[in-house]
Amino acid sequence: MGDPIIEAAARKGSAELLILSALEDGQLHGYDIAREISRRSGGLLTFHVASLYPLLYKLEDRQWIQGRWVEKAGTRRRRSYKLTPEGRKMLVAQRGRWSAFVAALTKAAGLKHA
Amino acid sequence: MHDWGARLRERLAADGIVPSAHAEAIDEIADHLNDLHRAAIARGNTVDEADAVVEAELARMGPLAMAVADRAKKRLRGQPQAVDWRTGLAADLRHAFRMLRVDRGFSATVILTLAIGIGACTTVFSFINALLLGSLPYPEPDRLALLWESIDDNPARRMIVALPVYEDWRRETRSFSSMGIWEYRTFNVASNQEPEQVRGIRATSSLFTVLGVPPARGRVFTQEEDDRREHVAVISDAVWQTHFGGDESALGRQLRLNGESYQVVGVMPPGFQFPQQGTGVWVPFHLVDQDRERNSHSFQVAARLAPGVTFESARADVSQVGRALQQRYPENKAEGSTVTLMAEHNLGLVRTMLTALMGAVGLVLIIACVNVANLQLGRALSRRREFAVRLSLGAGFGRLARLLFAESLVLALAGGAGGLIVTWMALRAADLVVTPGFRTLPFRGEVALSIDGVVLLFCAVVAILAAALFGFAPLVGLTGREPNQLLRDGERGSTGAANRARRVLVAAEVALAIVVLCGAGLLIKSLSGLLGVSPGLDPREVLTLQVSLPQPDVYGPPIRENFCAELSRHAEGLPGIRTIGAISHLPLSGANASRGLTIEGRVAGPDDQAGAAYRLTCPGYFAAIGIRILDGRDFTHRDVTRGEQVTIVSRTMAERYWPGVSPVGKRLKLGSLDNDQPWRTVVGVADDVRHFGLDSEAQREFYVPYSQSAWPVMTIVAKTVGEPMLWQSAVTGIVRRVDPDLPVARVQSMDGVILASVDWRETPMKLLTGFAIIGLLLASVGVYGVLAYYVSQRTREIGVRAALGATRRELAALVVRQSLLPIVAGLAIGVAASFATGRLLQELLYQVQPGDPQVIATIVTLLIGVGLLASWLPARRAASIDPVIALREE
Repeated sequence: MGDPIIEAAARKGSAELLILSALEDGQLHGYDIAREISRRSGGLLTFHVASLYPLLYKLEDRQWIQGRWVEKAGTRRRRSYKLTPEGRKMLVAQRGRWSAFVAALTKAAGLKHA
Repeated sequence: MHDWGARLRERLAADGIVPSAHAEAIDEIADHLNDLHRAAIARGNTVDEADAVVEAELARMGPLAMAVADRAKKRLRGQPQAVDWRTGLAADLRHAFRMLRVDRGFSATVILTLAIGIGACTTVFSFINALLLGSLPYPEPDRLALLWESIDDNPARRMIVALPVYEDWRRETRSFSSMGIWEYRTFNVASNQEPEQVRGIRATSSLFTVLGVPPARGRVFTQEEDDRREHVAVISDAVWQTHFGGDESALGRQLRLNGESYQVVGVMPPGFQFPQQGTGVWVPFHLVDQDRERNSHSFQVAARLAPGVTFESARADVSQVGRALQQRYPENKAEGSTVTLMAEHNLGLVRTMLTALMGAVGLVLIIACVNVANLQLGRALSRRREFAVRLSLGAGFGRLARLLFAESLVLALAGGAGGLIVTWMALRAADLVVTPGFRTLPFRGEVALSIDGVVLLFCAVVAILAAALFGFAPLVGLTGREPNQLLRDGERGSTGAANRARRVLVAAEVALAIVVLCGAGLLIKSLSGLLGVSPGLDPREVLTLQVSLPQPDVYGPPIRENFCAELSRHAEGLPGIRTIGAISHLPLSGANASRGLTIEGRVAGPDDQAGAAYRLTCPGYFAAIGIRILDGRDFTHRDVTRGEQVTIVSRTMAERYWPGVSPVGKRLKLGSLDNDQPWRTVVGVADDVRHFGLDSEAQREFYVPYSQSAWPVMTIVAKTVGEPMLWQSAVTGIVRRVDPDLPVARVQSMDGVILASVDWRETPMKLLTGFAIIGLLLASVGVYGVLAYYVSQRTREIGVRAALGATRRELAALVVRQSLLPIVAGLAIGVAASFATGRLLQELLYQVQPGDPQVIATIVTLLIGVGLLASWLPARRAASIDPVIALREE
């Protein structure tokens, strides 16, 4: 299971980056956020419910994402999250920071690109 | 398919999340779980496999619960706190009720335990309320005082009063608005009914002024009627009912008192019991010459403080007058004057007893609270998640404490209500346990024990205090710990703090139990020691009964010269009666009289006037009651009124006034050398009797034949064959034949008289023993509970040890050893404390010291036995644990 990696990532702030990136292209339900991250990482990174929602709440508190209840005709209302302008700025900034970090890590630790 | 929303609510509720408060968050997550389940099915899993995927998510919900709670908290923070503390408290109490209804077994145990503890306290308090806090039934009772002659000015060494001194006080003190004097009398009251013996007094009319209680009907007698020696009487409501059928026309009618006709002028109200329970007749003082003797101490004096005079200044006033009398009269040389509050009279011992009992029940209550605290600790452990969530919800420690206190308060108040039921039952049963003497107070009569407003208030206060005492136990181990840490601990294992708290509780219970048990032990040993003391007589198969033999001149020769001879004659030949006699003051009955004496040939200094207790007897008395005649002879019917005047002295008196020689043939006379009393020849020496109680020393006593000097009340003493009470009618029949008009009263066996004399020791001993047993039971249950819990917590460790080859015996020994540590600590503390508390009982002890080794050894052995049993039961269970099962428990 991917949990240890995610939790380690969460500690470094990378889980935040994952969520922000998943929401880059539009609004998603919690379940779809987790599925999108799993899909993009080729199943390597998965969120458990118990890890995902605390993070969503945290990001919402920081006003990087905004959750709201959406009702579509004929379906039950569901809660969706989308990036706020503030969140979009943070995504750009974090991406930059992480790219630099990964590049540095690659050089320093002699990592090969996958 | 599962309804995952419901399953999620259930799961979060277990973590203390109230689902309804977080409906949106839960809906959202439930959607997520439903999606997960659908996706798993879509991937080709079976329903069971899909369920397992979702359950796996649910299993790790802990942090989520925290986050959900946390979020709600943050949102709440933004809002104003509209709830004021009253609604908050009401909500807390409602919540507490709900919690306690759910956990019925716990609640019932706690309420029962508290009901016993609080009930015991409230019971003893209702005694205190009635006996110590109640006031005398007279207007402004705190202004009422009693005046005494005393050795020096010491109120502790007071004596009843001689009339001339009373008259001096009336003239010379300035502190009193009124003062009255009285003497106890016994009256044979005769109307158309059977003659009845009734207690009464002769008193000055001013005594009624002192008391300030008007009669219910008619009037009290006047000073003028007293001066004119008119035969008028005031009677009690009871006598009015018995002899006049409660008829209003009783006023002005005649009543025969001691054979003389008295006109009834007034009836006192039903509650008027002055000076003692059952007083039925009040007659004018009718001064006689002998009353004028300055050393004839026969009377009691009551007075009312003048307005504005304090008790202290009155005491100074009385002392000063006393000192003046010392200077003026040789008879008063060694005597001072003092004053006491009527309300405080003879309450010292009652106060000591009730204080001791209150202390004991207080300890029992604390034991009960310790038990409850311990139950709370155990319950707190299973509620730790709930506490953690509440804390993380932003409850704050204080808020949580308040919630728990609300729960404890509900428990304690329920316990208090139960306690009232216990009290009610205890007061009903009080008649069985508490001897009547314990409840009868001077100047007030028998005091009713009841649950009144004060008792209710006390009960409520005790309940709230108890709640404070045990209510915060669940907080132990919560302070200074992060909520998530608490959550992670879950129900597994207890914290170090809670374990320490438990050990302290065990030690405390043992210590408290020891203190109460030692108190009871000391009293039991005192009483059994006391009952083993020889009173100097042989009480077996002895029947006693009182008759009053009225006559106008209470000091002179009897009108019934042949009373004793008649008594013997009519008893002679009767089956069942071996010997019969009579005495004026039955040993151990509380009756007494004493006289100043002149011993022929003895040179007495002015401070050393001879004197001794004065008894009148009929021949046969010594034989009947089993007092040995050590020298000379008993009286006989040949010691007649106009024959040689004789006396028998006690051993102590003989040794004091005729040391080293036989007093037989020596002479003495009553009063001073120059009076007209006849010389009396000593004809015998009787063995000493502990007249004033088994715990008293023998006093100087001298006996005079009734035929030569009258006494108004005699107690007939008959040695019977077998059970004395069976011969009651035989002895009553003898009295009838002597004089059909003599009423008989106070029929008792001599054994009964002796038991009654230790009444005041027996009652507190019984009560204290009862409370000690309750305390011991509560403590045993509590210690067992703690140790059993302790063992259950260590099942795994014990399993490991067993798996590693420890034998059952070793395992049991291990548990017992570890359990015994707090028990031994409690023993040590309890024994040390019992030395201190034993001192409170000092006044009630007889030839036993606080810290008596025998008592302590017995109690300690008992407690060790209880402790061993309480730890052995769980130890045995521990030892029989299968290691495999024990290890699997985790």
